[in-house]
Amino acid sequence: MNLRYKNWPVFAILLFAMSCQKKDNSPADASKVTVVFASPVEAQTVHKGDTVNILADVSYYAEMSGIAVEITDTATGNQLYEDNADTHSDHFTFQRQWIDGLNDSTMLQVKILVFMTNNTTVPAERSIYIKSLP
Amino acid sequence: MRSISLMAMLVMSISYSAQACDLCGCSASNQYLGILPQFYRQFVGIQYQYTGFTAKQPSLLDPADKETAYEYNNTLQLWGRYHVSNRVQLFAFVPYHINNGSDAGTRINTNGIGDISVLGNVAIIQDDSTLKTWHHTLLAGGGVKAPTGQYTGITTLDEQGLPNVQAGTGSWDFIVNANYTVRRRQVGINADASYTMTTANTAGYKYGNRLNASVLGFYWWQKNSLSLLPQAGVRYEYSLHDYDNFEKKWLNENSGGNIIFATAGVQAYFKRIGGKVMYNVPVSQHYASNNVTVQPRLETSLLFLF
Repeated sequence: MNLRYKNWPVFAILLFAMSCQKKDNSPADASKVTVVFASPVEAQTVHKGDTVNILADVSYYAEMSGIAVEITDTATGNQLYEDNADTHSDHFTFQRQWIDGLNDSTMLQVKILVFMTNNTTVPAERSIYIKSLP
Repeated sequence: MRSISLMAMLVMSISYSAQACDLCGCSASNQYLGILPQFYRQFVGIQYQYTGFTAKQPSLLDPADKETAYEYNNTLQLWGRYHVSNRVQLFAFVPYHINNGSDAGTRINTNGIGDISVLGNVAIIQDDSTLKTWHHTLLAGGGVKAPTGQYTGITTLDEQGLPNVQAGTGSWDFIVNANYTVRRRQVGINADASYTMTTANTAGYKYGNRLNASVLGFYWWQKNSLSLLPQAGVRYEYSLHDYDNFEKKWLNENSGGNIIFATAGVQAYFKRIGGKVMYNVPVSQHYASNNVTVQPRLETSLLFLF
């Protein structure tokens, strides 16, 4: 019986050791974020009533926690659209749709924000610009 | 007339975690076998468990803005015990999950057979029924949970934080447990602890290892063929963080935590039929950086003894 009791601390230590959790401590590096826009493309022209497909292939060398998109009217600074998605991967295909309802000609900024797990407060940003015509 | 031995065995508590979402990481459902009768060596039964949680997750674009989520899990579980020998007994569990949840307005409903578990326990100290006052039982053992439940891997919804509602976990888990019961006449105490060691599933996701422990006091009341065992106590659960990708050591720090339940309920036995109702109320919890609130849990079971 004594031997059994003596084994308990060993067992407890073993369990404790198995409870240690290693963590990826890769430093945040926004320059290692890659965003490839499949749609829209730079300088693309869209018209009022068009559906703008936003399709971007996003990757990073470590884990990402989320992707967001913002569409901004560069003439007025008004944000026309925003949406986001959580992720837990180093590669994500982000897809959204926005319908152009603008009455005036303007330049639109389509910005992808990438939230890195090792720095969730300052997202990496990649943008393209498209033209909106009535 | 046979009597129920109150050197009954609260064998262990094992956790079935339907996956951890972006926030939870809590054991989506937990099961406690309860005090088991010894006067029949075998039994089969069905359990019903209800668990749930609500969550508030900081929005990516505006952390002050909280996205809400909830998940409710209903589990029907077929289970049974078989004595391999006088000291060794096997348990098997076949759960069926009915889950529904919502995350940021996206509703998910799934159901299906979950992960099947098998446990083996050895009675290290067996009750001496010739004793009049003090009785002791010590059980220890372990088992394995097989990835038999449907697990679809990393889907788009999973990536967006909604994998919780899958019926299976996709992983092999290993369980060790110990259980001690002491009784003097009609009053007893049961202390139980179990530890679940998880492995990464086929998608690389690894649920956090879990510790479950409980202390229950009980009273044995008997009249003719009817026995009642009111019981109350506390339960403690502790979960390590999940890994979004275990190979790459992507620790999900929005998962894991601990919770203390106040628990009360009653078991009843009449001849070859047994039943149980337990209600667990969280009295202290810290899950997923306090973004998750675990709801009270209900457990019921019906046994046929033979």
